Amino acid sequence: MERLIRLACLAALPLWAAVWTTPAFSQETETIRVKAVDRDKPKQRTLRFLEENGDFFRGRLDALLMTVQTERNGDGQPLDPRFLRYQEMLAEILAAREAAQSSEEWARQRELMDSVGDLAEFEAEMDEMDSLLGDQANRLAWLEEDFVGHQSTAVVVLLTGIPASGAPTGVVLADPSGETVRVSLSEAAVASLARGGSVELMHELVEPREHTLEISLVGEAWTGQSWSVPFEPARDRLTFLELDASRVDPAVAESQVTARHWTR
Amino acid sequence: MKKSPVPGRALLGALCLSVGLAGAVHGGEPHRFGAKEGEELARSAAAAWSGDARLVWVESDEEVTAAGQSERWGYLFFSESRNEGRVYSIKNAKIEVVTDPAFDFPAPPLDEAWMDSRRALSIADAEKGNDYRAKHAGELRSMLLVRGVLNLEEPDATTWAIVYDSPTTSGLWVVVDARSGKVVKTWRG
Repeated sequence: MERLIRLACLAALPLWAAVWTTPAFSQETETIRVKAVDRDKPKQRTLRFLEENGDFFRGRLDALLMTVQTERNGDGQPLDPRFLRYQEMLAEILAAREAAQSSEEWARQRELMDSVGDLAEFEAEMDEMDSLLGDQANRLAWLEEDFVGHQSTAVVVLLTGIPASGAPTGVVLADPSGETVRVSLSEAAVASLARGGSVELMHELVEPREHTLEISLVGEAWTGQSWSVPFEPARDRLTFLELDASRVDPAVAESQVTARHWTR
Repeated sequence: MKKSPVPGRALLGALCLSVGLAGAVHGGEPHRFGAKEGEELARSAAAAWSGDARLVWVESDEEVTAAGQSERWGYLFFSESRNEGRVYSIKNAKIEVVTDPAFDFPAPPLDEAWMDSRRALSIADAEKGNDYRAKHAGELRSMLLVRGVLNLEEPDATTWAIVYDSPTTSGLWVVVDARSGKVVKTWRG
């Protein structure tokens, strides 16, 4: 009997080895659950006519065939003049830097003004520096016009602060009308929080409307406590939503994650 | 010390009245707008929802005025990759309602150069709408914009459908090409 048990253990060894050595290939986990469809009940009805006459319109839709044709135009297209302008701007920046360096050198050599003539020369140098700064401001304005205007509505969720009861190991951000994001906090992230820093939890495109995020912390001390954080991202802007967890306490039901937001 | 001729309570009442009146002047009249005005906001939201979202249907969500404006317009998008739709109902330049429709409607995307509801209604009124209103105490029931399904003879065109109702007779549909402004079809039913 004892021999039989030894043989069984030996036979099971490769299986155990396989289990213990299987690496974690992916950080994304997929959990499948089945539940009844829970349709949002909008506060006001919308598309009433389509809803009431849906069968008619869908029947008409069956009579249509949509084809997508892709065409490539072989003709040369004019180059966006901004690309050439960027090259010129780079050259101007380099030239401006050289001019600024030579001015600095000149000022260092002339620490003591010998005459009124030197003072006039110095003023001329200062005017030139003013002009360089003005040019730089113009270049920044052009770049801002080219790139800032293309911002889509997006949100960056940041975490700051560590609860007195200890740092959580992760944070769950659930959007009732979207997906749930689970973010684990590395040791480096926790160390950063302890030093008063912030950790980026999420950076995504969002619809420009009122949202409510359900926030919960993960860790031994945290069981089922969650907080609702409403926010409304500004359209075509980047909204930062900063969550401060320093005042939350798992022992106090009323304790809250505080939030503030700003837009740029 | 001389007492003020206006008692504090009366002053407070007058202040409240003036604030109330100001509110009525500025906030009393709802903002009515043409369907085109809400399109950009709806598209911006849909782009965040799904990269391949396409606008397939526009409908008046509230009563449409004689000028072709409404307090609220609904915009239905369909995403091929998600195989589902999303509706944004816009009022006062904000998304008032966002919902996933309970039905599938994978219609072709609207032509981007569609005319505003104000112009489409004036064309439909001039064609048969005004006559129908006058003869049958008719009223405008709804305005909707879709591609293909209302004009199978020319299914590639995006068309406005202006639907009138009457308590005494059957309804009137006027279908207007949303690019050219041509009335392509009318029928009773």
